[in-house]
Amino acid sequence: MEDLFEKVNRYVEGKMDPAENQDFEAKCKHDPHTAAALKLWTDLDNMDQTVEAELNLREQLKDIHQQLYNEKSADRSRFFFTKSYWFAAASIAALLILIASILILMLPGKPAGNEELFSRYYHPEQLVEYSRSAQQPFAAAVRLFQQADYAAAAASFNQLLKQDTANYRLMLYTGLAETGAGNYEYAITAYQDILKADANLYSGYARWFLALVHLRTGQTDTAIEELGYIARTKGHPFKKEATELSAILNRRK
Amino acid sequence: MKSSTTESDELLKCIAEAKAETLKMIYRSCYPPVRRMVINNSGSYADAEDVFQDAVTIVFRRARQGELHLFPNTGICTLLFAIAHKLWLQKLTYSKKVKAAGQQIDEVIALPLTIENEINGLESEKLRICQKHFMQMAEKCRLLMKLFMKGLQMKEIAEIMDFDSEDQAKTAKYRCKKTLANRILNDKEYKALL
Repeated sequence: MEDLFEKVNRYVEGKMDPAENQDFEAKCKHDPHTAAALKLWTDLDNMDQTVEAELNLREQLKDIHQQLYNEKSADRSRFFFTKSYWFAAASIAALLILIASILILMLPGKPAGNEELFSRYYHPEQLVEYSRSAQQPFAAAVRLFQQADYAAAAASFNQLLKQDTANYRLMLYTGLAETGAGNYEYAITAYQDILKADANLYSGYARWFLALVHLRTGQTDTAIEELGYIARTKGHPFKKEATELSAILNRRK
Repeated sequence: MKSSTTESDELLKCIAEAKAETLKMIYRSCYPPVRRMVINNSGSYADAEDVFQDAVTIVFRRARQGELHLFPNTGICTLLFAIAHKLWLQKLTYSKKVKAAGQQIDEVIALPLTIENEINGLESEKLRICQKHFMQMAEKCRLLMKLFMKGLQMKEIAEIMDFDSEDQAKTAKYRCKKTLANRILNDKEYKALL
């Protein structure tokens, strides 16, 4: 019996007689499987250099995976069979460090206040940047921020935001500038606007800075809630910091 | 792997050019969290490998089209994790194995709309399945089909691949294509998209 794709190929190459051709076209209209086979066959013919480049990439990735996997297996074998005494030494060292850490934590000390913790974790400097192709007003606002003139930067970002109301990057920068200027209520609004919006690149940042501003304004419980959310979020850019800060705040409680 | 705007642009350029060292560095740094996410959400090591490579391919495609820009300090790993997570959630949804835990990580980093649309798009999903089956074909078939995609004439392909004649190359290509088409059309995920 003729394979479906043999038939499809004869149709595509115009090798069917008119009656068979008509039958095949009618079948395509009523049978989704045949129609799908015809589409797939032509789609495969239309795959071009773009797809070829992607296939080359996949082959490269497959090789890399193979290489890394082999490297790791080899590393593991070496570790377990020839250097097992390092394992014992490392365990003892880790145990000693653990004991030392517990002793240090047990020593009485003044817990850090919200303001101090905020300064320790709030580092937006590297985040606020502009590319060479950036528009002049935007670049000027970023420069104001970089010069720590936060009030002027906030005013400029707010101005730009009026012309581009759905620009989440601008919203984030506005929040950061308002935070720097000490206008925490405005900052909270800016971060919350980002979180309320549709999917965007800046929500992870917004939540982290929102948590810090809550901390700075003494809303510790709200800050802990936000930090908990970040800490539970796999792959969040501030997961480590949030876990750490949340532990400090909970311990202080 | 966080970077400034210029470094990000440079990184994306290297990805678009598929530079081996860059890809290796990305694989080394960004694959482990993706593997953990897939394994913790009902997947296997092979699933993790597939999903990660699909994510890199999407970034590669977008970077080549110049449609992707990384936000300063947003590492490529965060972006790849977010794409891989979406892809994996989508795969679980198809196979009806979605776990509540999988929903927790939605806010890792929201994806640019172009990538979001691509992940949700039927045609790109079909293309992913086609590429998956393509990668499982015999090496000779893969090479033949790739030369064809490159736009080479059958005569040239016959010469490169040492076929006796153009007709022999044409027959070989037909057989490879038929095998590939049969595998794709019988794929459960592909059928679900029809």
